[in-house]
Amino acid sequence: MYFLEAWLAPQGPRGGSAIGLIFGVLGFGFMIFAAALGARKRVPTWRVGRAKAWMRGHLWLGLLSLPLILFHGGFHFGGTLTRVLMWLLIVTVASGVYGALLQNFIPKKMTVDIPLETIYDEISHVRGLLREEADRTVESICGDVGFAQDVSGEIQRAGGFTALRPIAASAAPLRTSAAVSAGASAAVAPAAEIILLSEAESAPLRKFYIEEMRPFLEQSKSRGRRLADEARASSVFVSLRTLLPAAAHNTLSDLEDICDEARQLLRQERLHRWLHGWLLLHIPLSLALILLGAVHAVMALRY
Amino acid sequence: MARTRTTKTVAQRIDLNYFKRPTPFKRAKLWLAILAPAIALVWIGWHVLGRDNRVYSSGRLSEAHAVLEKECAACHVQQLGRYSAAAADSACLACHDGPVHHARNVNVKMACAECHVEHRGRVNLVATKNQSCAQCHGDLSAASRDSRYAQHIRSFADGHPEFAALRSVAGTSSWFVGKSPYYWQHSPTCIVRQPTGCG
Repeated sequence: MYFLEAWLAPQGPRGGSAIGLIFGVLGFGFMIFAAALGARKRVPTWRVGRAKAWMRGHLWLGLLSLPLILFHGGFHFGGTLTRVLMWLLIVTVASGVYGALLQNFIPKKMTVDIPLETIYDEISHVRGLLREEADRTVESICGDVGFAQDVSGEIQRAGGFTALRPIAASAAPLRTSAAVSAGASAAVAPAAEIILLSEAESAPLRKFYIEEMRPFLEQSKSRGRRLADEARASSVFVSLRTLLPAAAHNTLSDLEDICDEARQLLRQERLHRWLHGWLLLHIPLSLALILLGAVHAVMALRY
Repeated sequence: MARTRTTKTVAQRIDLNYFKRPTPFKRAKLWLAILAPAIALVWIGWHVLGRDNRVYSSGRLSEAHAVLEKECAACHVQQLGRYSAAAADSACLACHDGPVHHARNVNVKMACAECHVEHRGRVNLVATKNQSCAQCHGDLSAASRDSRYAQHIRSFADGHPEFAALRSVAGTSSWFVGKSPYYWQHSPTCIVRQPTGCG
């Protein structure tokens, strides 16, 4: 239809011609439909079609709006407002396509790479619980390290074992990251006796914990970065095992497991930023596009 | 004792009201979603308040009219405070001496802007498309009362008789000689494209 008009119309394809206006109205209509997905998400109880159908419509009609608007303008970007609109549309559609590609790829990667995935909004909270759990684990063999807090309520929610609170034997065990990597389905080990190490014996663990592991769990930017790398973290714990008595090895395994979980949360955060970061561009620009598109429609019909 | 996770302990560590809490990402998304349309609104509002209608222009003017870029009213005659959508012929004729096209033969009156389309960027405004001419010349028997020459001219290469100037050179009689130089005025680009003549 467009190419027929471009060939036959004496003045070439124009937005003001009948066919040009049809393209413009359709393109803008598709944009509005695509933007309505945001409203639909805000009110999930609306009975206006299935979420999957909305998403499919958002993707395909949003994508289709770009060629329609290009046909509307005859592949001319026009004046100031129309040029701004064209670039907004191009960036919005491009960011949407980029996001759609990421949405197809990253969730699969997350499932494989992050078996201990948690709710994104809860990551900082879970990380805090892991830190408290690690504090108590270290203090269980090193004595008071100076991190003691009143966490009697929180400890219940840390999700992992603590030496101070034995897990009920009947509880169904989940696979820990260490167990997953070992291919084991059950990760329940027999209870070990709680032994307090002497100050000299526990010195390497104290040093490691205070200088490296705790900053890592606190998300310090400059410290504890060794533990962010799985292979390097593993070698750190291997060397610690050689420095500490055998009685502390179970505790070390727990700390290594906590580190692994914290590392997975880090990876989840990073992937989440990739997965949703494009929305910081896509949503604001699409709103600006709808607003200026409406201005363009009104003014073009007026003049 | 090895660290163990149970469904219960994992569930217990999640705050059930987590979705109500604003996170930095949610906050950034919200603020940007407010900011971008607000900037767009301020930008367009600035032009509206300044009565600057150029922002709605559908494109840049041709090179010949570039000096009029800020003078919308030079072509779009203002009526009741609004600019007319199409450039008025009177505005063209205020500067250009455009003779009426086949005043004796043609039944329809065409506006200048129907062939010479502005706001298409720095294009050559006189280079009209063949379709513009072929609207009438494609079937002259229908378009004019009296056509003594070719009936179906779709372009200079398709159906147009030899130009008078070229026929004079060849020593043949010329119907064009002494007549209005309208074709030379209105079709220079086509002649440039077809330096050896058409037909």
